[in-house]
Amino acid sequence: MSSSDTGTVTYLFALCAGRPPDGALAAVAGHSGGGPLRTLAAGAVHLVVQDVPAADFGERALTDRLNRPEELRRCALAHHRGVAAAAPCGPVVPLPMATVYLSDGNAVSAVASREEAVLAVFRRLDGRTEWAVKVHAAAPEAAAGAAGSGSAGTGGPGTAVPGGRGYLSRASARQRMRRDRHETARAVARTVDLTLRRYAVDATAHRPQSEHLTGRRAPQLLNAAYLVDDARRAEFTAALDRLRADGRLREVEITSSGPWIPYSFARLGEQVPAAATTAAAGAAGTGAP
Amino acid sequence: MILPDAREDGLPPPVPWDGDEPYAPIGLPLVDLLDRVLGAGVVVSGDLVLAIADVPLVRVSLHALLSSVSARVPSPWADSGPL
Repeated sequence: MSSSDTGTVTYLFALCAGRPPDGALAAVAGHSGGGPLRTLAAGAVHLVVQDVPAADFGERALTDRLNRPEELRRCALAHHRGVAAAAPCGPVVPLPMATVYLSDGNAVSAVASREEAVLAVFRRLDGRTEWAVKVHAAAPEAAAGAAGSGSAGTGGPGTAVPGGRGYLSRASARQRMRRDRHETARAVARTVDLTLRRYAVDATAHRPQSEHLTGRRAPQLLNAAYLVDDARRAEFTAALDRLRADGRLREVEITSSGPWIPYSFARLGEQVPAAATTAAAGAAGTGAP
Repeated sequence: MILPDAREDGLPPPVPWDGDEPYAPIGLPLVDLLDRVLGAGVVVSGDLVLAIADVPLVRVSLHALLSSVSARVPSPWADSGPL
């Protein structure tokens, strides 16, 4: 129903294989100022869309809004609600936030032209969810307390060499210790990642989040996402629990959240070309010397 | 900027989206959500408006957020990239 005369544009949340019931969608609050959520069809693919005010979703308006943390938060949550609304009806492919079309027709034709690729993503994501796992170095004070209790106070009873030379050797020892701890923590993060990959169909890494974003005083070593078969979910979470309980992994703190709709694995035609390229290379190789 | 994910009490609980009250903002790890809604998902372009509201725009604003952050809080591990 979007058109320029009503001042609305079509906001596309997600694509899904099954058609979500209208009632379920209508109960979901999408972006504020917009109409009720509804569906469109492009071949075998259903689109979850909402009419949103064009004035709020133009380039300038979006840039402005997404650069304000509170607006960004509201927008992200609204987007996620729209995506999640479709999740109970089979595999769902989320679109990036702020995917907007001038009209329903444009949205439908954009999706229809990629129908096969979208169906391939449905097949890949069906019966699978995403798990977010982050690994942080243990909080500095906790680690320092465990590693160097007793010699922590400058000029305390533990200081053997007085004066400048003593200070320098203590400083370099501290630096060495910190470096060793970081190395160990990074190795542990790799171990965590490799362990979890054994229970996942696929894994991907997001950019590590800054300490300001995480609210922690320790660096983030891993910000990963794993695509896990529903049938192996229990195995995956059990592996997570074992890693958390493992005394050898004290240098790090492991946090997780899930199940997520597989945002991080919704990519058009990525796994297909990989296989196709291999096949093509193999075919070409038979003819080559 | 205050984000609800700034928890200090250990592990965030799992966030089910298939439960009774699946979309409650409380407990949703917002920074994780932003990683996903901004950086992931299928890009279906082909429209004028989408070309505008496409990834570049979103990247720009994310970078604006992150760079304003990193300017204030320099990383102690300047050399550490993604593993």
